[in-house]
Amino acid sequence: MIFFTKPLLTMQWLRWMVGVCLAFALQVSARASEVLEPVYLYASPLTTAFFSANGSDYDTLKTRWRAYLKRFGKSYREVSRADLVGGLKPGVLILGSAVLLDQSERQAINDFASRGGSLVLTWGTGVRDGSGRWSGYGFIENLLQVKVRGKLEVSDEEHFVNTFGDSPLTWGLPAGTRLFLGLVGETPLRIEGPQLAGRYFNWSRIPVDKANNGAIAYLEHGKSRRVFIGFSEASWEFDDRMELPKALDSMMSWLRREPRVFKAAWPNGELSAQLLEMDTEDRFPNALNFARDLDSAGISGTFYSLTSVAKSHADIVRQLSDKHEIAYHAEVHVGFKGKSREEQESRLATMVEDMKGIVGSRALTRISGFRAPTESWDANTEQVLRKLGVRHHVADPASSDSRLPFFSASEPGLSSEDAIVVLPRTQMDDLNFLALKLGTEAASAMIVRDFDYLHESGSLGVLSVHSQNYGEGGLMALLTPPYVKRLQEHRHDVWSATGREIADWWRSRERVAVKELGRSVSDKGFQVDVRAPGVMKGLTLIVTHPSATQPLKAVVSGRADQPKPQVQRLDDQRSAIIFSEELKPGQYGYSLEF
Amino acid sequence: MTTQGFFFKLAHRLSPGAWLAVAVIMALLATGSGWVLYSRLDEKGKDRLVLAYESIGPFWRETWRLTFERKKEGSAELAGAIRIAPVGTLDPDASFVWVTHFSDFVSLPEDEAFPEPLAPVRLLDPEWNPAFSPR
Repeated sequence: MIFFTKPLLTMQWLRWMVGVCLAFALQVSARASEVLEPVYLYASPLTTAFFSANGSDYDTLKTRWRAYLKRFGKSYREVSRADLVGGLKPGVLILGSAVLLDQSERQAINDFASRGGSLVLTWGTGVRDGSGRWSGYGFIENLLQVKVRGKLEVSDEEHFVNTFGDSPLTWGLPAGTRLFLGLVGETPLRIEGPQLAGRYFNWSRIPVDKANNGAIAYLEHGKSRRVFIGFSEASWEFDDRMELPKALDSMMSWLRREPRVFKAAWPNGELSAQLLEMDTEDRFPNALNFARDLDSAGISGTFYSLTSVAKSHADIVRQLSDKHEIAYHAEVHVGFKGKSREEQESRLATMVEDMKGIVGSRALTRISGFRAPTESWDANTEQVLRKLGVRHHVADPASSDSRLPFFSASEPGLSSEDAIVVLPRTQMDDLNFLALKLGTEAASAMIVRDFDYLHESGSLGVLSVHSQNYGEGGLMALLTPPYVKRLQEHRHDVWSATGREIADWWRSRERVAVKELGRSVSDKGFQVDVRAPGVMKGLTLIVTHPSATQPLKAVVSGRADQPKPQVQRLDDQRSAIIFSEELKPGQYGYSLEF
Repeated sequence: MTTQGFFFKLAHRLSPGAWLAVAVIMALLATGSGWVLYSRLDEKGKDRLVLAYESIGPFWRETWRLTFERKKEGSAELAGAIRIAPVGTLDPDASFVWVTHFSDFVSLPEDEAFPEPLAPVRLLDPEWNPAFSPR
């Protein structure tokens, strides 16, 4: 008997030991990724003394953090030098433009970080020593592993920061949100680094050199998370729309190691979207050249057609409509903005009549896109268009401060089901390239850089070309094929679609609401509400990881009959949850395992 | 014998006080006639007038700023910029009054800054329904 019981006992003991070890490991791992609660605002006495001795007031910068932290309900504590040097327990330490730091403070900050504390550095933090003498950008560069490329001059044009959408840091704002930084004496610092969440651009987002326009950087090093914001708190004054606090909220979540779940901009785990379109007007037959380039890459585009010209090329329109979308570009090439409602109604009715003559009344119901000649339109235009069955509108770069679709506000109170979806053209078009008078090589480099910028920020790219510029040997006929090739290289993470497909997706995305459940790694989950009508396919949610070493492992379904989403790791900091199966209207609940 | 021009003679025909009176009367006349004209205009005319005024205003202001304020600032680069930090904070060669002493503040004890909740955390959770005995 004893021969049997002894091995059994040994096995039980082993099982017990394994259980204890596992429980211990789980506890340690949970502790490592606990949400960091304390938030400290460093009241740098040296910087205060320096500003004061030189006729300034450091409090003016610091007080913006106070306002943010109080208004948004974060419990925070202002800490003194003695507190810092004495050692703070891990939390988020904000070093808001703390220009002067002496050796003890630097050491204390490094120690704090090595104990797992998170850091926020802004502008010129640590560029001067304890007496105020220049010590360089080494403190920023070492902590963030970036290179400071100098400062933005007041005379420079890049006084706008564009944030990255769906990024672990700035997902609180739509992709490519343009924030004006003002013409402040505290000129922003340009940085170059591997992990950015924002870049400086001029208003029209001319794609300048990548090495010089980093604005927000982040790094996870060991147990510490760090963020550097290249512009000072003085620039916050210019944030009229109160967008910056939304970005700060998502930054704080990341710094506190709080996993977050949010709706991605694009379906099926795609990271950005691209519409390739032609304003098809003069030299209409050149549309076939553009179609040929798209066909060779298996991409469908949209041809916004000037109906008075298209009437004479009905055969070409029908040929294009086999693989591409046909849409309206008005009846004549004259803008609408400021024209009376009656005149606009009359013109747009003519446009629809023309199109009916070209494609026939049956196919007319599929024509649901519009692009205004010279990008000139107003609220009346959209109101009339909606009544004529138009569902999307490719608008000018000034129509939005972000680089994502949005619902038209021309008729306030309309539901997202009825409102026109506006696709802002925030990318340079052929007319912009021609105006710059660049050689083919320089223009080609610029257009590819433009793609890289919109892709890294998770934006919608709208590459607009004109038929008159797409003749054999024309600039756009030379630039588009390499651009299309670039899209093909990104086939796995860029969604190339027609205007109608993008608008339909945006409308169905709006029917989904995501509610986060729990805050910490151990109890994190989410609930998805899908609203009628229709079903949702391709819904993608992004989850930020509590740490680079704790990625999302699994999504556990709350009920057996719920669709099971796939988990796709995007990078160290986030994963995508992709619902490839259809989601019917209803409520779905899931918990997360890290 | 001095040869003085027409405008010089005209300027000296009246005393400075009389010229001031003329200026005031002219200003009143200009304001009054402007107001009468404005009140007689239709809505579109008023819109155009306001638009013209608003277009000209920034032109004069910018002309003034670019002509005089840059010189006043002493640095064309920073003209019109709003400053909070000392000028040249990011300039390695800038000279400043160096810091020789500073005073740290006394922060609140940590216990006060992050008080422990007295009530159970779940008290405000609508889902929490504790089982308790009425006794």
